[in-house]
Amino acid sequence: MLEAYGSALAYLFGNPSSFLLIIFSVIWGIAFGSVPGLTGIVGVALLIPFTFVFDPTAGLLLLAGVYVGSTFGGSISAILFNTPGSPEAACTALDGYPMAKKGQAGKALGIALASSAIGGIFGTIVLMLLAPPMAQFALNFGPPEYFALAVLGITAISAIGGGSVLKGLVAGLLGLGIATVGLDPITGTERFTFGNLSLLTGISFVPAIIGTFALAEVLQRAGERVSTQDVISDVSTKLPSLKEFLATRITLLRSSVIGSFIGALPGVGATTAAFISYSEAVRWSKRPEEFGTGVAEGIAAPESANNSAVGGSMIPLLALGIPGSATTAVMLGGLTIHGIIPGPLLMETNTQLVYTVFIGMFIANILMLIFGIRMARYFALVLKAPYALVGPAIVVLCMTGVYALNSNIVDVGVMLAMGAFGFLLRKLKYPIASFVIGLVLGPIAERSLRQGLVIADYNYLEFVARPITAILLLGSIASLAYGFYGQWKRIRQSNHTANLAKRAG
Amino acid sequence: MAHRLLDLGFAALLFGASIFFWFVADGFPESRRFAQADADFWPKIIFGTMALITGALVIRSFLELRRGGETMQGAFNMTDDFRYTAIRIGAMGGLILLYFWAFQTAGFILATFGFLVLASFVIPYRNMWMRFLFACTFTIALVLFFTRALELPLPRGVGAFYDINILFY
Repeated sequence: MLEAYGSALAYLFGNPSSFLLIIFSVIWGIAFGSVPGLTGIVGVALLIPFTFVFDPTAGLLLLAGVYVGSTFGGSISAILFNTPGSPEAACTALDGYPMAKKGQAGKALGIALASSAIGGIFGTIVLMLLAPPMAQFALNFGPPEYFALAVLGITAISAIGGGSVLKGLVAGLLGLGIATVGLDPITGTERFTFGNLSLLTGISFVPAIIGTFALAEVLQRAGERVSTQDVISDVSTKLPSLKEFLATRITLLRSSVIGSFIGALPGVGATTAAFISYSEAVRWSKRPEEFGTGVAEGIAAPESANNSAVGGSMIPLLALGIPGSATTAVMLGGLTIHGIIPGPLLMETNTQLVYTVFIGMFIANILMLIFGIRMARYFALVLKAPYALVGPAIVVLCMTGVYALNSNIVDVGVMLAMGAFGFLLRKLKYPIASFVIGLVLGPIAERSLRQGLVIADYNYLEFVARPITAILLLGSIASLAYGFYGQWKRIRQSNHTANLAKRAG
Repeated sequence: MAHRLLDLGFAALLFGASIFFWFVADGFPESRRFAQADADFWPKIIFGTMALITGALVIRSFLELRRGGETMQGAFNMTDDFRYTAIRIGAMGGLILLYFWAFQTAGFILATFGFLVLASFVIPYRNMWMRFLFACTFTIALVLFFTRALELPLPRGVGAFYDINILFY
């Protein structure tokens, strides 16, 4: 392992430009994370075509840096604008904005920044410690285990997303269905091409994700009335004092552990981690009634959790080849255009790449702290950038980036079609994250299922009775049960509130 | 109410599409070697499951719609806000399609500059000079970035546009 770290450090110092890439990616990430409607996923998706000109290690460093930066960036608009720049920062607004309203915006940003850095570094250490043994363990996985992991990824993200479980499942199935277009991976039969030769190679993944995330977002935002009047832009970050920091140490530790764990679950990402950490912080607090009024723990809990989930969500991606979140699903696209297939063998075949990413994420977290202190006021100004200019510029970047990938106008057409489809899904509240995870996991799930059945001589019982497969499939059932129970509880609560309002009226 | 109708319509569309694609999969050529897990095996699982779930969604949406039947009156009256949103999204969508066409025929520079200027009118913004300045600067920056820094190709258009664009990149 030490040899691997040595080789990674040699790469970084032998390629000083990689440090510049990390610096650029963190700034790009914070900027994209801080502007509501841009989000980290869009930031990552837009950069994928550009990674093509770098070597795979530099390309992945670029994407990982954006992921780290954007997760913190979301908190800037949540605190200054009361509108989270990305979904994982939604909880930060609950206490961050009230604190900013009290005239302590700098302090709120400082707490968010310090918590993000601690959570991010914690998550990266967990990634460094757990990914190699997990990859080693996963070498024992056969097709049934991979199929079960893919199923868990789709059911978990559909069930824990917070919306309708059925719609989440439909979105996941739509992704799986679109992934079947093209040649059958086993028999080579044409599927759903309807005689169109350009569909033989399937729906290109990168144009599809850029369309569903970035283009759909621009269309969505084009129809919204956005006001930048309430932005608090005159601010400078003030890190918490040692006393204030020590007062939140238990919350930070608990939330970082929760974030890493939740992030490592296939399909479940930083948003869920932030919500669970916030509710745990309220539950363990001696003054739960103060949450929502601008308390430090209310910012520290979600921020440390969502940033530690970044490292956590990289574990299944690098060790198993299964994305831990929607952003890592997009990053998977970035890896595949370089011909790299993530999975247990990645640690052995691309040791330098994996360990360089570990170190790169560590550096990105430290840089995030520096930029957060020095440049918060400039990122706050980004919030004032008129969307009339930013939105069309994103469309241009989407089109140009996708075209530049293969100089193929059909890819641009796919991106536009997926953008319109993604917009429709958003409008009707079908979760995009489930759709993308389905698109990514489709080929893995199909190949594993069919290969597994051939190996088991089409004995379904033998297929599901393998211990790890059984545990993972039971996990899928449990996640669905949890999702349906949560939905039932929400409906009951809203009915109860409506009845009370009716009686009062 | 209109949103519920849309929800019902979309679920019904997906339900119909699932059944259609299930039958398309059923017509795939068979391979003797993998007869029990052939090319249609996985698509049939996906579209079969999707038909079941979307069928449930259709029933649920229909029941919800019936329960709120008394509020059907006026469901399709568009508010000014809705009309404003729809026009802006439609305009942006139309401009993106126009850009896609111009991208191939007029080449990158002209198409991008024109799109950036026109699209900035879809979202309210007052500074007229900034629209043109931004469109011009951003287009030039992108041309230089793609063609010089990344050495990636950009479309040159056709005919006279090709001849003009070849002077720049």
